[in-house]
Amino acid sequence: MKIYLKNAGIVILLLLVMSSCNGVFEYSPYVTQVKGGLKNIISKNSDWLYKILHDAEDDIKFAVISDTHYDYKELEKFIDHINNRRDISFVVVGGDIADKGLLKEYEFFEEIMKGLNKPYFTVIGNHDYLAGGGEVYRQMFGAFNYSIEAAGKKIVFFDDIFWESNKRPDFLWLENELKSAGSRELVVITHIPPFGDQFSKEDELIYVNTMKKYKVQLSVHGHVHTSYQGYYYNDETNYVVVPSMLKKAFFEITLSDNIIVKESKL
Amino acid sequence: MSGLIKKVFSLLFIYAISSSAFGADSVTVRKYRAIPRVYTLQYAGNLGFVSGGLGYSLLKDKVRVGLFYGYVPKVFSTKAIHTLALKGTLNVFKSRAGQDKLYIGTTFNMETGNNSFLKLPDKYPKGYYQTNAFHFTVFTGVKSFFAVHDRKLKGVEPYIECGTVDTYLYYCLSEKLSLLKILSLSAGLNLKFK
Repeated sequence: MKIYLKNAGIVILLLLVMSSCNGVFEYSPYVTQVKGGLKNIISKNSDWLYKILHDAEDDIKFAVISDTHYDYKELEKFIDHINNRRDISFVVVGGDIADKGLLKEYEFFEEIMKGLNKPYFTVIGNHDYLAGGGEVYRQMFGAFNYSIEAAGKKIVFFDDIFWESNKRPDFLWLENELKSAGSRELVVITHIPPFGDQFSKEDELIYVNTMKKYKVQLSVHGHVHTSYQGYYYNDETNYVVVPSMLKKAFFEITLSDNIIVKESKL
Repeated sequence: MSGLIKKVFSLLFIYAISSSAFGADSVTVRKYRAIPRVYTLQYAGNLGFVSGGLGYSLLKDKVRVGLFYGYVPKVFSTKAIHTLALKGTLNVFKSRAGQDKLYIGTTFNMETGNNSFLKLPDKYPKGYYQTNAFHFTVFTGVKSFFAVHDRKLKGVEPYIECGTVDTYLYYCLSEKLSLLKILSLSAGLNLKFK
C-alpha cells in the first residue's frame, strides 16, 4: 500500500512536469488548442501588409495557391519560389489547408508558411471544418469572413462552406461588405466556386447576382483542384479557379487599373 | 487545473483501495482467469491527457492486450475528447535480468465525443469522406519491472513510449514530412497483479 502511494505521488509529479511541455506529448489528434504564438495570424499579417503597401508605388501583385492539404513538400517549393519574387507583395491560400481538420496538420502548414517573407491570407475550405478544424482555424487565423485593402481595391474573403460547417454562408454579410466598398473595385475570394458541388441552384443564383450587382471584377476559388479562368456566367465578373498545390501551379494577380490574371508553374 | 489533479488523485486512490478489496482472497482471483491483471495509467500518447486501461498479459508476458479509456479535459481542447482504445504490445528485447524490456505496439482508437463521425452524414454524396472517428497509433517503448512484496500486487512497471498516429505516418511515408516531426512521447505506469 505504502509503495503504491509513493508511486502515485511520482506519477502525479510527472504529470505536472509533463503538462508544462507542449508538443512533445500529444493528447489526441482531435485536440483543438492552438499555441499562443500561432494565434490570430490574419490580424498580424494585415498589419504587416499595411506597412509593406505603405511604401509601395508600383502595381501590386499577389500570388494565390489553394488546396494545399498535406502536400507540404510542394508548398515548401512554392515558398522558396515566392521568397525570391520581389514583385509579389503577398500570398493568398484558397482553403483546404488541412486534410482532416486536425491541429497537427495546421501546425505543419504554419511551420512552412513561417518561412514566407511576405504576409499571407487564408480563406476556410471544406476540409478545414472537419473534426475540430473550424475551431482550430478560428484560433489560428481569425474571422472566417473578412476583407483587406490593397492598391485601392477591396479584397473580400468569404466562407462559403455549406455541408461541413452546418450553416448557410452569410450572404448578408457579403452583400454589406461589398456595399460598403463604395467606388473601390472588388475582388472576392472563397473556397468553393458557385458552380461547385455544395451550391444549390438558388444559392448559386444568390452568389452570382451579388457579384453582378456590385460589379465584382474577380471571383477567386479553389476546391475543384483543376484550373479555370473565364467569364463563366457571361457577365462582368471573371471567375478563376486555382488548382491544388499538388499540381505545382499558382495564379499571379496584378492589381493595376485592369486586374491581370496569369497562371504560373513552379 | 487543481480540480483535475484532485480527480486524478482520487481516481488513483479508489484504484488502490479497490484492488486490495478485489484480491482479498488470492485463490479466488486465480480461479477467475478472466479478471484483468494489468492495470495501466497513461499520460498522452494520443489516447487522451490521461487514460486508464485494463489488460491481460499473454504468452508468458510477451504480449499485452488491454482496453483503454482516455480523456482530454476542456482545458487542453475547446471540447472534451473521449477515446476508447485497444492497445497491444509485443516484447522484442529484454535485458539479461529480464527487468527491462523493449517493445513495439499499436493502439486502435475510436473517438466518442462527437468531434468526428462514424457514418458519413446523409448530406454528403457517397464516398465524399471516409469515417474520421478511428485512428491507429504505432509506437515503441521501454518498461522496467519493479517487484513489490505484497499479497496481491506483483510489481509496478513504469514505461515511456514514442510513436505516432496513422494520419501523420501516412504523410511521412508519402514523403511529405520528416519522421522527427510526427513523433511524440507518452509515459505510464502498469500495476501487475498476481
